[in-house]
Amino acid sequence: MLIVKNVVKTLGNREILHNINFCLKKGQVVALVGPNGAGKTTLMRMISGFYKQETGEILLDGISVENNRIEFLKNIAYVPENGGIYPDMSVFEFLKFMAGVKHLDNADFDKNVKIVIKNLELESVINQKCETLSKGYKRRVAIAGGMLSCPKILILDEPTEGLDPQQKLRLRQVLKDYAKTNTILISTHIMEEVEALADRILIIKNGKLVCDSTPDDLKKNTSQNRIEESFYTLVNDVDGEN
Amino acid sequence: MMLMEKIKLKKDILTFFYKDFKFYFQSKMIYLLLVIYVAMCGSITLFGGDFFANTNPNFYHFFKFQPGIMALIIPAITMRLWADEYKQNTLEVILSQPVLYKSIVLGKFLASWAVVGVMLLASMPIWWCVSSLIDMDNRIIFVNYFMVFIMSGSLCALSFFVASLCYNMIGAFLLGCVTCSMVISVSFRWLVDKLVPDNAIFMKVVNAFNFSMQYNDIIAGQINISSILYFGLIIVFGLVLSVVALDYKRS
Repeated sequence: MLIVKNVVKTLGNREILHNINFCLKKGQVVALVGPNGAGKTTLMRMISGFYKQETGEILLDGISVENNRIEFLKNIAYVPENGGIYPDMSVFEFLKFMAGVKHLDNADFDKNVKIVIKNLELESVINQKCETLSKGYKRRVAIAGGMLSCPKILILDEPTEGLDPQQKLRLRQVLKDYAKTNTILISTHIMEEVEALADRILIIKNGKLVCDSTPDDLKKNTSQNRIEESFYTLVNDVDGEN
Repeated sequence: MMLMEKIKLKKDILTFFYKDFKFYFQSKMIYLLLVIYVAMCGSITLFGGDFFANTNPNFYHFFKFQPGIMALIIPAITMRLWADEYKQNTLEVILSQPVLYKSIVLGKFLASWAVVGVMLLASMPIWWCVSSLIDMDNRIIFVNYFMVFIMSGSLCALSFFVASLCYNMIGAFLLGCVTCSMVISVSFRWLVDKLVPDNAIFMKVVNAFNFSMQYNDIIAGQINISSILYFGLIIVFGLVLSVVALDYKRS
C-alpha cells in the first residue's frame, strides 16, 4: 500500500503541493486529474523519488522514499509524459537497460520481456532504433520499460498521448489486466480515459487535493451525468470558493 | 548482504558505463573529435618545438601541450552526458530507479574517461612513426602516456561536474573549456607574492596545488606518486561535486 501523508512541495517561492494526503491500494487504477499546472506531475515526481520531499511522508509498504530510497524504488516505475526513452537505443536495448537498472536477473528478463512485448505489440519493432519509431510506438516502449520489472506501483504521466484509438483501447486493457495484481496511478486530461480505466479519481487543483472518490460517486455528488461535467463543476466550485 | 550490495553497485556502474560508452561511438561527432585530436597532437609533435632540429628522445612537445589540447577536447566529450538526459527526458527515468547516484555518476564518468583513453590510443601511431625514425626511450613514453591518462581523468571529472550543472550541450562545452583552461593555467604565485613574498614554505604549499607544475613533474618519465595523488584528488572532488549537483537537482 502506498501512503502519501501531509506532502508539501515548494519550487522557488511557489507552493506547488499543499498538504496532500491519500493512499493507494493494490488492484486500483487511480486517475490523477487536474487543470494544467495543478501539480500532478510534481506529485508523480515526488512519489517516484525524482523530487526531494520537504515535509510529510511517502511510504510504500512501510518503506519511506526518503529514508530508504533504493528499497522504495524497487517497487515503483515512473514513465514521464514526453520521451523517457533513449533514441539511440533499439527497443530491445532499451528494455535490457531498464532491466539492468531494476536489477532484474536474466531469467526474469527473458520471461517478462516476452510478456511486455506481446502485450504492448512491440514484436515488429523490437530491433528498431527508438528514434525511428512513431509517437505511439515510442509511448508504448516507454510504458514497456516501466512494466518490465512488474512494479507494485506503476506511475504513468499521460499514458495514451499519441496513441491511435485502437492502440488506446488495447493499452487500457493491458493496464486493467496489470492492475489486477498491482496499482496504477495515471495522470490524464482525457476524461473519457478516466471513465474507461479508473476506479478512483483524485482531482488536484492549485496544489490541493480537492476530490478523492470513485467516478460514479463524483457524478452523483455533483449531480452530473458525465464525468467531464462533474470535473468542471468541481473545479469551478473550488475556484468560486477561492 | 554487503557483498550483494557491492555486486549491485558494480553492475549499476557497468550498466551506465556501457550505455554511455556505446552511445559515444554511435555518434559521428566522436570520430570527428578523434581526427581533430590526432591532427593536433601530430602538428604539435612535428611543429611545436625543435623536432626537426633536435632528436627529442622523450617526445617532450607531444606531452607538454596535452593539458591545453585536453582542455578543448574533454569538454566536447563530457558535454553530452547530462544535456542529452535533459533533452530526452530520461533524467527523470534514471533518477527514479533503485540505483545510487554515485553509480550513475561513476558509470558516466568512466565512459567519458575511457573515450579519452581511446583518443590517447589513437595518437600512439605518431609515437610508433617517430620511434621508427629516431631511437627513443619507449619506457619513458609509455609512462608519460599513463600519466597523461591520469591527468586527463582529472580534467574529465571537472568538466563532467560542470556539464552536470548545464541543461544544454553548448553551455556545458563552453563552461567546461573555461573551467579546464583556468585550472591548467592558474598559478597562485601572484597571490603568494602579494601576501607573503619570499616565503619558501608557503610557496611550496601553493606549488603543490599548481596543476601545471604537477603535470610538468609527471612528464619527466617517472611515476610520481604525489602527482598521481593530486590528480586522483581532483577526480574524487569532481565526482563528489557531481553527486551533490545531482542530489541538488532533486530539490
